[in-house]
Amino acid sequence: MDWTSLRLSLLLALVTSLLLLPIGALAARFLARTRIRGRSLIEAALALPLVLPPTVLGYYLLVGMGGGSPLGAFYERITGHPLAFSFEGLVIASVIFNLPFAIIPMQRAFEAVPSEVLQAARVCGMGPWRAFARVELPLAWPGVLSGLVMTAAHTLGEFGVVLMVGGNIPGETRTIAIEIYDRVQAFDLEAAGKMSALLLVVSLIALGVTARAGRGARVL
Amino acid sequence: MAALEVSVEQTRPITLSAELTCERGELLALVGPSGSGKSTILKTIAGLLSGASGQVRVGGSVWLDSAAGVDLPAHRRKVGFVFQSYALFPHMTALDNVMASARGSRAAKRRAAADWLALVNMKGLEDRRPAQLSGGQQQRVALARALAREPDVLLLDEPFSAVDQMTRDRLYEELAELRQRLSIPAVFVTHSIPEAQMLADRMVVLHRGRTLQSGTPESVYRRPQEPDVAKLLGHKNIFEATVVNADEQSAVLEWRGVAIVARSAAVKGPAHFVVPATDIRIVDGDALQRRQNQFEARIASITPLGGIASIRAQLANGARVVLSAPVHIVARRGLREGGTVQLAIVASAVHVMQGQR
Repeated sequence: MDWTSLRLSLLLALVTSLLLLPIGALAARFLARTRIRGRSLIEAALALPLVLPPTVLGYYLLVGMGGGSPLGAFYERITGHPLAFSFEGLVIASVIFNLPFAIIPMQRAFEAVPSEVLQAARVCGMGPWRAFARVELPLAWPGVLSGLVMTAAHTLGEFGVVLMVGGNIPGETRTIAIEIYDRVQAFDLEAAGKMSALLLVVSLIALGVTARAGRGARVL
Repeated sequence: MAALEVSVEQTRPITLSAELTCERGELLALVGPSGSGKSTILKTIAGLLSGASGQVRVGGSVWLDSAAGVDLPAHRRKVGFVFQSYALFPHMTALDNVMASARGSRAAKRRAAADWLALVNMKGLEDRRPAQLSGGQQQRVALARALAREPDVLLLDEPFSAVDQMTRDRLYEELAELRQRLSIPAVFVTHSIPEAQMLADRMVVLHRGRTLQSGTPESVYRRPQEPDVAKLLGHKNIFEATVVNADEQSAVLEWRGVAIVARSAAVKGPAHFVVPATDIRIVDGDALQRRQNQFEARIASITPLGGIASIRAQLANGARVVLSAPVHIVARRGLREGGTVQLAIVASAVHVMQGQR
């Protein structure tokens, strides 16, 4: 069994989740309370990764990060190596295709905080950020946590987007899901089976943790 | 200048045209049916609604002056707010809830919060979470949290609506006691007239976003400015009549073919008058030697409620009146539905209002 690809997958899941904690929580808080006109459009755009084939998403991400794109060109000028087919590129892709998995549960959690409780925080003298840190985020935390766990589990299992954007470079972009595919192609069903079982267990644990966090929220 | 001066003039999100003032140490009741804009006014004072239009002045400082572009954010207005749902922070203990609005070092906050909790009779329950407290206890924590802010204004949004009657009675007493110690203006919202009469120094009547009248609860109840106010205050005896003669001492109205004497009237011609149910008395005497404001009536119904009976009766001129009398009087006089009775309407209690607006 190849531990490199598992380590890479875990690292990718961790980095993606850590990045999506602030990004997801702030976006979710904004969507939960805003009354701007384009809200439905934004929500639809965020949910796209749920319905698009991973290859379509991967294609656009690849084009967006390639040397011909402003982002890709900028990155290459700064770092000296291309963004596509690198771990960093994979992280960006991963953050984008995980947006709905992180934001949707977080948004539901923020929406569930009663508006009078938020108003109470303001009249207690808390500014918007303090009220967010001391009242909103703690109350929405089970949902935020569940968004992060979903993100991590989903990152471990993503195949199509990773293959399109990252290719299949050992130690750089070959994640466990791709490794499994490689093993099957090489008729190494035993290794593929072990890795598949591992992913299954990890996913099950993640979903279990999420369900538990959800129950914790109701007790509050 | 009053300690709190509010004037709101807006059409969105709901139409409001309201003005009120409140002095230091005064407890003002904002009274009106649901949907009349009471809570909106309170939240406008606290700065919780965006796009408010009007003026809010507290002491010397301006919190809101939409014409001048002044709109202090809620957290910079020193206001104590008790929400209808209490809105305690569910993840914090009672003590932490109160500390959240206190100022100073951590130790100072803790001391102040403990003192406020003790003042509202919550000593010993400091470490409970809101979910572990009864409605009345939550209300006390909410009040302590509002006061720990050391506010310049105290606002209470239907503070007694979510508790049972027994708890409510006790909370009334506690608030009446507590307010003796407060030297800030306090405004509470209620749809209960008895609550306003019991607790408030002054009340403001609100209807469809408009402030209709303000004054002491007693004076507003006895002298409503218009039939709408009288109806809102629960008056049952509101009639149309015509003022035929009025001077300083008294007025005479023509009321469906009979004359009725009232306290002086400020209007001439078509008018309304109102008389409290307690000021229509059952009297002895026969139809032959009637005195002023004495009418014979046929009893339509007698509804005992506790020790007081509500009696509906129809006068000879067709007017239907409602009066209340102790149940034992009803029994002693042998009153029954369908029977006749002599009624005297207390002239000084007959209040004349503008006719059709």
